[in-house]
Amino acid sequence: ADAAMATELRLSVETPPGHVRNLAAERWAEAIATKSNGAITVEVFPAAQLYKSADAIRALASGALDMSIQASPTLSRFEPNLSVITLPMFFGATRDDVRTILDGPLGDELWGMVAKKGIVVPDGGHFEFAPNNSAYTAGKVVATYGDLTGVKLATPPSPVVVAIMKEMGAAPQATPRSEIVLQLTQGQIDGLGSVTDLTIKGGKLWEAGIDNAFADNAGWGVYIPLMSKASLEKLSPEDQAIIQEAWSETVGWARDYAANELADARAVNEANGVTYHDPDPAAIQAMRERMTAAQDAIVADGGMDAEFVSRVQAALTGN
Amino acid sequence: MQALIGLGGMLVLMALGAPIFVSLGLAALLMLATEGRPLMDAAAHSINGINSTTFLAVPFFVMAATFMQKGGIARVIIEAAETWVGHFRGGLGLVAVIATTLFAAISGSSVVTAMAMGTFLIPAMVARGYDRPFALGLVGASGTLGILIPPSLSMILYGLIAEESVPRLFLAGVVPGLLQAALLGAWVIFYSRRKGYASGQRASTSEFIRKNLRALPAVAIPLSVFAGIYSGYTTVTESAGVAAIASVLVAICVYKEVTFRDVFPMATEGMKSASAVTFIVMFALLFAHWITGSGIPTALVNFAIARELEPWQFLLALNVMMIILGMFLDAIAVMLIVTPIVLPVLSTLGIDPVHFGIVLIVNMEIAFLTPPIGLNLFVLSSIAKAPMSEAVRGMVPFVIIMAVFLILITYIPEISLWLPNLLMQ
Amino acid sequence: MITKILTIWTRIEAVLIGLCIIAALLVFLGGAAVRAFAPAYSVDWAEEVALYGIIWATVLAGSSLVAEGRHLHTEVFLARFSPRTRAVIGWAMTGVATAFCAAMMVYGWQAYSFALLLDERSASSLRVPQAYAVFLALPVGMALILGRVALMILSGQRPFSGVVHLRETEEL
Ligand code: NA
Ligand code: NA
Repeated sequence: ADAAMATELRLSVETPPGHVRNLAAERWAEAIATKSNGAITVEVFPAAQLYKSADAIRALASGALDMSIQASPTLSRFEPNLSVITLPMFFGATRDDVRTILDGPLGDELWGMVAKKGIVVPDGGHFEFAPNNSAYTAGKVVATYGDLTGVKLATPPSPVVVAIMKEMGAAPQATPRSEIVLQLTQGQIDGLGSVTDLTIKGGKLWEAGIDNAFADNAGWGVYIPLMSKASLEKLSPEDQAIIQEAWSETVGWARDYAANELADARAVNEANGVTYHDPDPAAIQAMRERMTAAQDAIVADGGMDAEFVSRVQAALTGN
Repeated sequence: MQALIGLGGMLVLMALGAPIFVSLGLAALLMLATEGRPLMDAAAHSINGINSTTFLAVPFFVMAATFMQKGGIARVIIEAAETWVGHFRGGLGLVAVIATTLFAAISGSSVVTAMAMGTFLIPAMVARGYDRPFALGLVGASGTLGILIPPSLSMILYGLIAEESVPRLFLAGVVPGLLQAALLGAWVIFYSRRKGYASGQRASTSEFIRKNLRALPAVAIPLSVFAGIYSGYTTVTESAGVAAIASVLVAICVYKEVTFRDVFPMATEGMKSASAVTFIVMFALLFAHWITGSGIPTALVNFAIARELEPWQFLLALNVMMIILGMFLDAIAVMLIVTPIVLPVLSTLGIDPVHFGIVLIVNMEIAFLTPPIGLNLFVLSSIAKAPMSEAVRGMVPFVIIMAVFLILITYIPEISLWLPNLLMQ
Repeated sequence: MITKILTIWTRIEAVLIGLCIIAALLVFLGGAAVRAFAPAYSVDWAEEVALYGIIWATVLAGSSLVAEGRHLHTEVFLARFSPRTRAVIGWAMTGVATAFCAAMMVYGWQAYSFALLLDERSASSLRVPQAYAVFLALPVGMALILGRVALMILSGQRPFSGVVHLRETEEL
């Protein structure tokens, strides 16, 4: 790369500095700068300064934005098959199970679907932010799946998540993150559904009353690094390779960091008075089997490709 | 350089009388074009900017306010309030401050508060002989309490970015909010004496009873809104819708000044007032998007950080910076730019992030009032159908009061931190 | 003739704005009622659909605001000029505003087509195509403003002048 022809790229994330997504973005940017001897610089815009989540994806597709790191549920608004890891068949699945699927040919197929929207997933792929747990509640003990009946839970706005929670007997309410604390303190909701220990720790939600966790490891979510195809094609093949390689060198760190952070979060929550209930694996398996019966309807309603889903299921249960 | 051209172009267009949404949108569009960015993204950004739950409450509260004004509800409430404080000098001005403070405890937004209260308070104040710029300034400045007195959408956003507990931030806003209301009330009394606004006659006992009884159904509307929110039955946004429906029912069934046939045109009229402001918001968001991408505001704040100042100097420099940013940017944009840059240095300087959050909120309040881009200015100009220059003129003394208030909040952290520390540790 | 068209236009717009906003209010409160009293049947799309109503009502009102001279602008700096200079600047600003609206119509249409191509859906179980629900509103709103501007010029009025044409609005 010619130093006189400096390339400036913009990366937008909606999370604040210090969040694992931002840290990964900054490392990626550093690796790009190092590998290109400063010819390519990436400016990281945090906290939705530049684009809110779904806006960033559209901007990547049009070439208005160069790079981003997005959560799989947000991206599923453009490519519904990304919800595959949130489906009931992933209840109780391990981090390794998720990697086996997404790092293999089925993952490539999934990223290929994203590529059709003009958005490239670099080599190295995703890192996980889950597993999600079915319920974190305030002043209401949920220790078994039976206790979930009628519990009002704020869930991330995702049709798949809402459908699953309904099927479990809870009363899910897709709620924007900004409304959750207010609704909790005013008693409009009993708690949060299908989020992670980090959601509780990050918002210090014990101060808003959360004191119970039902840690059933139900469904997965990943962060996916993204590049605009239009922006990428303006670069030389060497520079394109630099950006791809820089991510391959970053992703291992991001995966370890995210996993450790999640493990620490539980301890912090417990120290702040959140009581954890871990259902036994047999109960989770029974729920998975019950939910898998409803999976076909969820897949159809969610606009997903049933054939692709069944191949993922075969690969998952084959392991 | 680029940023100066864009900023200058926007100001020139505005000064020459182009519509404000055009001045903002065109400047941003031209600058994005010179940067070589796809302009369809600019269009998408503008329209999708209002595709946010924040904007849901705006037209509902404005509809409620329109019904309350045209249906006689507002008049009945003001007449009743006057039987309590009307015999003081500036009595109606005090009514305005108190009513707006109460409404701020329902609404989480400055624009909504100024819009809903201005719709009936300004005509009422003008009818009682107050000069209109003063009325515009008073309602504009009181309206900013919407984001300082909980609930507050801005504090929720700050809590998300700063990973601070939102209940703690809410509590931290209570005492400052009451202090701001007291400062505004003191100014109303001082100004009314100087201007010699006549005080009303003290109401006779029979008049006092009659007017307060007549106001009971009207007062039930804000009360039901409070009850809905704090009992957990409705969210803040839903309460706006409930208020709109309740206003219609009370206006038609109790005071009978409007009929069912009037509902439709009044809803349309309320929506138009809201739309005049929303058009500006759309393109103010686009303008902020361009200028954020240019990196200039970030560089400004980083400059202040790099000086290695004492904490008090740092806060002073930052306040000056935020007031300047707040003149040209939407208040939310100021927060999005400043918070992520400043947060990491707060702990080294020993500044409590909750205290800083309140300092930031007060700066955002000021941003709503300062020209050229001040949403409360636009709101009041729109609903009072008054020229912008008049709203700006009326706002001057109140911006000075708010600056004094900002100094108090900045250098006496206890004003913000006393209540949360008392109740949450 | 043109005045008549403008009047009818305003009336149609008023009906559409009113329908959008009242529908938004009813859907939104209906959703809230179900959530409060029958949480098991709550829907995740009431807020979203209400927002579509408000977005469309907002852009539709933009055109009526032009007719009524209610788009906000400042006038302080123009006061010192002669009436003639003011008229020239005024028409220049009308041209600028019209050009901007035309540009936003074109780019807004591109944004709509692009959202259609991307097949972006809402986050609720309705999975509403965002192209129709959100992005189409901008070019439609801008086109309405342009149509209104043309008719106003033909009838001898200056659009974006900030002068309220009372006669027209009084007929509502
Ligand atoms: Na408030
Ligand atoms: Na301002």
